[in-house]
Amino acid sequence: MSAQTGACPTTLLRDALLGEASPAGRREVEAHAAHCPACREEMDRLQLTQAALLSVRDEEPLRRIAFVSDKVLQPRWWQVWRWSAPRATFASAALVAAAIVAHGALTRPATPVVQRASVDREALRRSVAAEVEKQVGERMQLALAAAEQLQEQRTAAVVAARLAAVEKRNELDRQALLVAFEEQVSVLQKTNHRLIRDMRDIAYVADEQGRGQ
Amino acid sequence: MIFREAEDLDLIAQARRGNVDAFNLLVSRWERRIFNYVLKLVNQREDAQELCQEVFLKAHQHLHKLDDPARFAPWLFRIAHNEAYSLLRKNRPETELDGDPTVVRPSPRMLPIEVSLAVETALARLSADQREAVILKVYQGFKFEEMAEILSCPVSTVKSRVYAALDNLKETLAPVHVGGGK
Repeated sequence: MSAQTGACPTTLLRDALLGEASPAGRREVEAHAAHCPACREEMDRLQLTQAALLSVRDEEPLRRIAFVSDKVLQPRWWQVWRWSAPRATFASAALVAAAIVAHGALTRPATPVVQRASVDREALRRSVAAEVEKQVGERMQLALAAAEQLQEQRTAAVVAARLAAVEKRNELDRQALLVAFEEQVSVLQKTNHRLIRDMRDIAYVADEQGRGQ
Repeated sequence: MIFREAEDLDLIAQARRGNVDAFNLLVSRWERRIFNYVLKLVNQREDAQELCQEVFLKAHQHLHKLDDPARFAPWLFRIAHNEAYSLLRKNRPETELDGDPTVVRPSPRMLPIEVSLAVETALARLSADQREAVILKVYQGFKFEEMAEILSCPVSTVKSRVYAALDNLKETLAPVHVGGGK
């Protein structure tokens, strides 16, 4: 007996093993057995016992059993009647229902007033349907137009934004090209000045040499 | 299991209307379980086979008496229980069926010999009631309520038989280890 968990639930333990305990009962047993060595051992022994029993396999019957049609196997007349009674009752009820429906369909109206009322209803139904269709069509047209307009506005906004982005990018590229061109021009000018100076120096030296001779 | 039960209900309904094929299909689904159940009771394979045939013959003849087709399994096993005990009484009229059984002759099985013999010996030591309770509970998987219906006794009686049987079997099949007792 476990001081921690109280009395040992022996019956519940067996029921849990035999599949008769509720999920809460099984959890209670597991929780108790975790702290109670005696119950843990009891569970193990019962599980071992059950496993040993179940290790004995079933055998196949010596011969298969099959029945053939025979008078002894045929249901008696009163059994057929008894088991067909519900169906007979249902069939009778179905017949009665069909008779009622047929009577209602075939019976002529009592007075001409009923006939006139059905004609008015038909015309009313047609006019109502036409009006509904007209209104539905108009509203659909309005909704379509609004949707198209909205779509155009959105498309124009998107196009304008993209154009602006392209313009901006082009401007930046143009400015970058301009800066690069100006730098190249500056480099070329400096190079040109140096060449001119060098050529002057060369001409001066050549002139001096010519005088010396 | 749910689908199988639904199919059984349909087969039972057809069999009641005289459909022999439907009943044969029902037989094919249950004959193995019935055979092994009665075999463990009578422990003779030929006797078990004959009992099995008798069980299904009576089942078909009295199928109209089954009030709730959903209770077919306990109803069928009740027939098997009655047939088995009728045979046991006929073969051994002087034997007290509630007491210890006479020597049970082991039937040939293709199993580890040691476990098979140990289980047979342990089951043979039980009373007939306890042995049958274990067979219905452990081997056939019935609930206590269903067993009470099969055995025509209160649920409390069924429980006490099963618990007592397990205590006895435990001593043989799962003895306490020396030095590791309670």
